[in-house]
Amino acid sequence: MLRRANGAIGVALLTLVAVTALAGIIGTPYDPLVLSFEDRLEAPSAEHWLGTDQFGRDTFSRLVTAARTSLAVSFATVLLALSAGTLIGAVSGYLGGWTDRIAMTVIDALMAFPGLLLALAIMAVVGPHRYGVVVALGLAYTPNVVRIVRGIVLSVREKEYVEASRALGNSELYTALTHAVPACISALTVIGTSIFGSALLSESALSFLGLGVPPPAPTWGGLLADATMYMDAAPWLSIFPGLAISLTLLGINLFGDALRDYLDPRMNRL
Amino acid sequence: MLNYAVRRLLMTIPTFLIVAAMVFTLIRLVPGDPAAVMVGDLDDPTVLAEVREQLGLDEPLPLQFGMWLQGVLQGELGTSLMTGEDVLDAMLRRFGVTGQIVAISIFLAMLVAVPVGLLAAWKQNGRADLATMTLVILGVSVPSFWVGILLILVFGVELGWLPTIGYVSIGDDFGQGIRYLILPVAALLLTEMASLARMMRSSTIEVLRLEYITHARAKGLPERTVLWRHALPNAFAPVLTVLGLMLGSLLGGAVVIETVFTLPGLGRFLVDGIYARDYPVVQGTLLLVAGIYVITNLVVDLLYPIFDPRVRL
Amino acid sequence: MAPPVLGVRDLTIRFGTHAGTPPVVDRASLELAPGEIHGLVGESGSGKTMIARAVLGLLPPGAQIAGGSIAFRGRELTAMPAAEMRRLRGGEIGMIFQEPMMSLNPALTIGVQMAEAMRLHTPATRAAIRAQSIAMLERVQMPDPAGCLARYPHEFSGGMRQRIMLASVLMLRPKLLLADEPTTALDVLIQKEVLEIMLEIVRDLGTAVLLITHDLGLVARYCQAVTVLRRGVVVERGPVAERLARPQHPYTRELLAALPRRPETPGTTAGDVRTPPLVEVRDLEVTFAKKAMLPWRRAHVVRAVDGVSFTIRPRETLAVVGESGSGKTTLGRAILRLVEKSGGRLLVDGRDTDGLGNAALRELRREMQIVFQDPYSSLDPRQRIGRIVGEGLRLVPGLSATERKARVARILAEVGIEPDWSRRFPHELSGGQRQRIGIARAIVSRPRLVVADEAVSALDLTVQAQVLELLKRLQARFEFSYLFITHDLGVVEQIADRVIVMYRGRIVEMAPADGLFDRPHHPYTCELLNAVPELAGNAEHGYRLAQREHLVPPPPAGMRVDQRYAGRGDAPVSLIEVTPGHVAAYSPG
Repeated sequence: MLRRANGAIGVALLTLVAVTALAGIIGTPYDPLVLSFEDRLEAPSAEHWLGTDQFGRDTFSRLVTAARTSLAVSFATVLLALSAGTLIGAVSGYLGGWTDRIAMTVIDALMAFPGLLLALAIMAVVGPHRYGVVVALGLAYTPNVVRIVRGIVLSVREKEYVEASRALGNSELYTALTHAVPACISALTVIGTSIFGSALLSESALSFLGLGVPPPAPTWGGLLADATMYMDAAPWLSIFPGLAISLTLLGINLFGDALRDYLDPRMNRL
Repeated sequence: MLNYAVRRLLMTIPTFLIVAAMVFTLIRLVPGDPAAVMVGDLDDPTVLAEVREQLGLDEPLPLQFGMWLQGVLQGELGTSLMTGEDVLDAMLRRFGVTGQIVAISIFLAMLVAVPVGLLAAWKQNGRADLATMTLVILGVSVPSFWVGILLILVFGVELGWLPTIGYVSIGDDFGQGIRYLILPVAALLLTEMASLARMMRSSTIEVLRLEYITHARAKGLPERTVLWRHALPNAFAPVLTVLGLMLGSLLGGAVVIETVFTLPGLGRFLVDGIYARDYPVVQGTLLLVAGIYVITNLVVDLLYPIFDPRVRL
Repeated sequence: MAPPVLGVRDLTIRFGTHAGTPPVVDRASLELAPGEIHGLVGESGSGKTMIARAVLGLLPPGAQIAGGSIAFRGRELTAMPAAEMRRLRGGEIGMIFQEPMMSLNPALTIGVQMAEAMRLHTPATRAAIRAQSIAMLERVQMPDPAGCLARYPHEFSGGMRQRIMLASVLMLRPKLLLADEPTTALDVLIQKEVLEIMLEIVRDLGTAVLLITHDLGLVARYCQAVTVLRRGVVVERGPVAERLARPQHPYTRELLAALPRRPETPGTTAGDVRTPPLVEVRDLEVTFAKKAMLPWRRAHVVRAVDGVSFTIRPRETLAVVGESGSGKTTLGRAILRLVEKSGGRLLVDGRDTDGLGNAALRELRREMQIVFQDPYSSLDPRQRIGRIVGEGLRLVPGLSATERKARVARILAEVGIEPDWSRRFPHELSGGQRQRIGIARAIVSRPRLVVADEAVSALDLTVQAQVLELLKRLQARFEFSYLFITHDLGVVEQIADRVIVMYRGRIVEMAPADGLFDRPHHPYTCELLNAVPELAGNAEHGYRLAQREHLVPPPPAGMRVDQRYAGRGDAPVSLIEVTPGHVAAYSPG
């Protein structure tokens, strides 16, 4: 009962964030990029709901614009990691033998780099760029997808219904497409959700470190990094971006758990 | 047992070679000429050629890799372009800081999360379980660097109880050193505790439905013994593995925390290296972090048979 | 008469608290006298395990006792405080579980697991417990009992683990032993050993046993009294011999009638020796390389099938019998080319299959199909019935979609499934229905050989009887051959024309079914047949225990009994024809 409520809260939070982000396309109360030095570091008020930053830019407008960037980057990362990971994992698991061994050693080596550090290093190579972030994060999360897809493919390959399909004279490719791929789909939605959360977190961390989507485009991590310089004068600046990240992550986590319970009711995890 | 250990040890060699190759290639992919970066703005082709020769940049790539790897194995990681220090020395010094906060926070997190996860699973869907799980999901949703900022706001800025910036080694001044560690450790702790408790709980739930648990109960053992003696080791083994695999994200979290608290750790070193395009530093740090990951997972796998004697691969 | 050890009266167990949910156990009563061996018989879902769990107070989460009483030596258990209940558990009431692979904790040594209940329930010292553990392991005939204590469960086979379980439970001299299908997961010979050890010890201790089982043969052989449970309701109870001779309830009669037995009409003419064979297997060999521990060590080679030759004739049912590890499953897979053979030849219609191209091989595959044991893992849970069965027709050339649909519908009707069920998913079906789907998928392309790999072993007795009947009928209608792989001798006797007995990868005896069951020649066959308790009789005159006691006949002139079976791994062995069509393994000399 409560678990279903959790899922609903998750969906509600995500909808709220998504709708706000989309509304930002139509317009924000203030231009998120225009500087206005007379309004510097103002506390939250009726005019500036969440206050202003050190250049007098409206925090609410910047948060809304940043939401779009964060969600878009995370979503693109998920797509990249899932497609690359599924392809490599399925091929590697299905072919087995040396292909599999080499692929897995490379994946093992890739996993040895912490996702965020790998992304940092890649950012160092490609330079600060919106697509650079997607490529860096996508590459960082691909190994996880590869391992999970490969695991499923290997276990499905052992299933008697796959053997039955082969006994009917069907080719390996046909059995892979009709039996192994559908088996991966529910797992992929669950991993996809969890990668979305991790990507959002890493994207924030990258921009916090100044190595994410480059300024002046506002990002949640970047807003937080700016805020740390004014913790005495304007503590509220440190609160709202963090709250935005946390609420979005909470939404994703609640939704992800509900999804997993729904797809795999046997695992009664939370 | 010995066979398993040797086998597992051998498996790390190809992994490490590929890790090294990746680090090496990554830096070669950087747009521009490493020699030009080293020389800086000096526009003198002869100096440039000299530096190129010195770095072996004119040799074919595989040979360059071989030379570099040979150096790495002898502990030669080059010198920092920014400070001129030996990269290995600088890294090891900074690793002390990062290692400290990561190790202390993992230890504390386990101390809390293992029993909490175990009990939550035991009372699955009970009130205590639901409360724990609510805290857990909040815990995993709050980024550790924001927790760090909030801690600074409350304990540093508002209350002024603890230092918020900088670092004193506990070797130099134990009491003061601890004071500097409290906030960074606390920031990492929350997330780790939550995700560990969550893993421990689901792993315990799996174990508790197995027949040997019913058998243990059928012997008349009290629930305490059933949980701690029969369920704990079996439930902890998979958590241990995941913990090893999670080490990467913990080190990643430490990078950001070091920036928040301006700690002179390994992560900060890497980030500064990237800003300054200090390639020997970037290369060395990546290699060290990946090496730590490979070795930790080796240790975890070697420890695994203690909890699950079936593993003899 | 002594007061009963266990008295269950009007016990009702239900999931959830709603009075509306049907109870899993409905007003069940039974009684055990001291030292009595009592069989509790029922099919899956009959609630027999629930009763045992209720006695121990260990019902699964959600299940509750909704009424009735359980008395253990005069003390009421249903209302007993937890602490007091724990003192009885393990101490006075012991329980043995079905899966020996699952019921010992993998992380703890045997010594620790044996000692803990003892420490809890008796004041014995550490040294005394150790001495008793060793003595008990010795009693259950474990080799090196002292060494066992320091080892972990995974180091032992299933039969060994079940002996360890026995030792650890009976060490506390319980007054009542709940044995929940204790030997079902074990091979026939080991099953007999373990049961006999168990019964010998409980006889000495005076322990009463509630033997929960689906196997009426076991009940007839080992129990004094029996209770038959059907969907939570007790339908029959009383002394075993009397109840078997004069079953009261129609369900008991149905169960007894469902027991596999030899058909009364003599074998059909199927499998005429003069017709050319459908499949001919010559010196077939399948090896598996077990990966070596270290890369520089040589891989360890396991010979799963070791030089096997036989033929399968058109329209015959050839059964392959053997215990786990005999290679029977691998043999079936190798004939279908699902695993690669490493030696020997495989001829279909006299043509060697080695030289065939891809297209011809695909053609060949359609002619030979397989039905699996597990009706759960053999159907893709994400596909609808129609699609699963239709997959068998995908590669039949020149078939339109409508034709294909019509053929699927026809075959579904043929196996007794409503054709409009083709929109359903496998999980909506019962085990028996799923197995029918598996059969439909195999025969929809009209194969000439169907490999049935333990095809009825996972089914309840009454369902098994129906599926066997179906298999027979389909064979008569579509005229294909069966390679019927199973461990169940009863099923073989009912369905097979000829039988192959396999032991460790090779054939030790091959004969027409009647010849094999009436005059077995190989010592292994004799042991197998003697180990299985059978019920003889019929619905009219009642049933009684029929114990086979085959003696190994003297070997033919110039031959000795199979020396490899006797333990000499490298001894020469050959198959000698003892009577026409009946061969057995002998060593020269």
